[in-house]
Amino acid sequence: MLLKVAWRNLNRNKRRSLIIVLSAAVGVFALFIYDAISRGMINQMLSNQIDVHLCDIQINRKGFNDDKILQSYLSNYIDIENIVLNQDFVNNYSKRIVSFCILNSAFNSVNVNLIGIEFDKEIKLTSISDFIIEGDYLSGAKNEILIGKKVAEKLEVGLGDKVVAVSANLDGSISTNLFNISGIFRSPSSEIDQMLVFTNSSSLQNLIGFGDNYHQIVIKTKNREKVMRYRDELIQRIDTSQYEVLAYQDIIPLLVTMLESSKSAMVIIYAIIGIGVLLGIINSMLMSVFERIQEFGVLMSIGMNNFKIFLMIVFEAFLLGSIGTFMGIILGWIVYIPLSIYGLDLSTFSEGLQMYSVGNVIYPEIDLGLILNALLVMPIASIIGAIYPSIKAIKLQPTEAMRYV
Amino acid sequence: MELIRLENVSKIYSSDGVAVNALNDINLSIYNGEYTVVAGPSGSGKTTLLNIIGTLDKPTTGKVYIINQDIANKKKKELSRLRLEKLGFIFQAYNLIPVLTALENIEFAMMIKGIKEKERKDKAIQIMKELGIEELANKRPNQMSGGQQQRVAVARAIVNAPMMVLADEPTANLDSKTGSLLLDMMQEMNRTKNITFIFSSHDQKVIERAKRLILLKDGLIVDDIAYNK
Repeated sequence: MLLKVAWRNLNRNKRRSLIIVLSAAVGVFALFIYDAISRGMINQMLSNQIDVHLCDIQINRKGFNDDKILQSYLSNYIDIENIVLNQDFVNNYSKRIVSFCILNSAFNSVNVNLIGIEFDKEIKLTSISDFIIEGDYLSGAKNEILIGKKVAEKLEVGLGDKVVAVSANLDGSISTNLFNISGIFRSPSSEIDQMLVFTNSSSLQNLIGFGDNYHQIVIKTKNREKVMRYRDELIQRIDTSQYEVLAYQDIIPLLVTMLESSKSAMVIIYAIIGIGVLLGIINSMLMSVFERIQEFGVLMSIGMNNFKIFLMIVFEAFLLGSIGTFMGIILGWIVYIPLSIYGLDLSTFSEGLQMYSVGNVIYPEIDLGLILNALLVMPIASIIGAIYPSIKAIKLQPTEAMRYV
Repeated sequence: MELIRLENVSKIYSSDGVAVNALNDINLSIYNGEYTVVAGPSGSGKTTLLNIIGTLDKPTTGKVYIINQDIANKKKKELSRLRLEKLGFIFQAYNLIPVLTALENIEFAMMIKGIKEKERKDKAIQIMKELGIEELANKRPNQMSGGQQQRVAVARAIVNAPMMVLADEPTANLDSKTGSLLLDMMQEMNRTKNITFIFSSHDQKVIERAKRLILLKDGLIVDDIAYNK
């Protein structure tokens, strides 16, 4: 019955209640959409980096990830490959060679990382083939090369043109070779487009006199969420005095930290919105309490104790906060569902987004934990907001309350 | 049985630094089944006396006993409980909860006491029938006349079977006919249910029905007359 009275009390001043409910709803809605878009954007940044090139796990010679020295190759990659093959969590894997080189055209030259890949395996691992805008993916032909749009622009070359790659050789000498541009890609990351070019591993092995060696084995796991556990399992099986097993979190810690810090930022935004709702509710409830002081006097006179009066006011605030939160979440879902299906097209900002490895279309992602948090935080903020007005009400003496004008 | 005893009760209000003696050394006992009217001119201390008897206010000096219990050391919570279980209140301005219907207003008093929904609904309907106000059950205070509201307020006051009902100027806002009907109702309850009533009033209709009349002037009892009615 107290809840019924609280509910009806909210209807006494519909406009005021509506304003508070709407402010809570708008707060929750803003939080919902902001979180969904930023989560979608960061996850897209992360997955673009991993899917286009990095992969979930890399196995290198110890220190290779830091200095990328040509000589730091996997001395017995067959043993490591066998270990990888025997892991249940491995979806696909491939071997790579990485070489710094200067790529020259008739007009210009650029510094790039020339990646030698097993084209038939790599296509199952990475999504670079999805971003080819001219020509085709590698076919295994000798000295074919796949370059980024930005590299092509800088070198002023196009599909079918030839470029000369100049690279240090394993023995320290300089090697050069002519490569045919078989494809041009434009990935979601400008860094990848500017820095990475791909060729078949045999072509690069020939260029740098690498024999049948590889620098790294890259792995796509069956469940990216468990990648740290898989990494640790591999560490137990591989000689870590010679090799390093790196999860993507180890390779791009900055991005992972960004993801974590965005969660911390959400806590701050929660707090700000929570405080906003809190102040609105305190204001509303104080007005409501002062309007009803005589009534509280009557309630005290007929024997209603302080706790029940407190509870009645808290119920009112709780209802305001809960309805607002519920409305905000419903509104959020209404906006979120089409956005998650069709995406948020930001192609106008294409260049800027590519700098952050984000595609032109962002697909917001919602975390159910966020909804649960909102369902808790806002009503709790409302209850906290009701405490001060409630204390004001219960501190009154019945007679002074009834005389109050 | 003695329900209330006031011993040397004084009440001094301080208003803008000026002390006002609302009650001055009052000694008074109220017994079970009385139908008492506290009368006197405005400012004589009638409402203050009722508030002190009803534990809504505390005396500046003196002792108040309710069924031989000194209430001076009772906590706020205990006084709430005492009012809930032993006392009923009727106010000049009716003071029903505006968002509740007549039935719910009566139920509300029982809800505070912790009576279960089914029981309190049945009891509220029963008391409304007894008082002939069942047709008001679903009306909110703003849909009722002053007399109707005051009858609902009477029902609310007696629904928890109090030992005593305190009525502060209950007829002040009612026309003569409605006021008389209300007084008939309370007199009937005093007679049939032995509920003790204490009124504060300067309404002649109320005073005429008193079994005991206490006259106050400037915070002093100037006369205390018992009638054999």
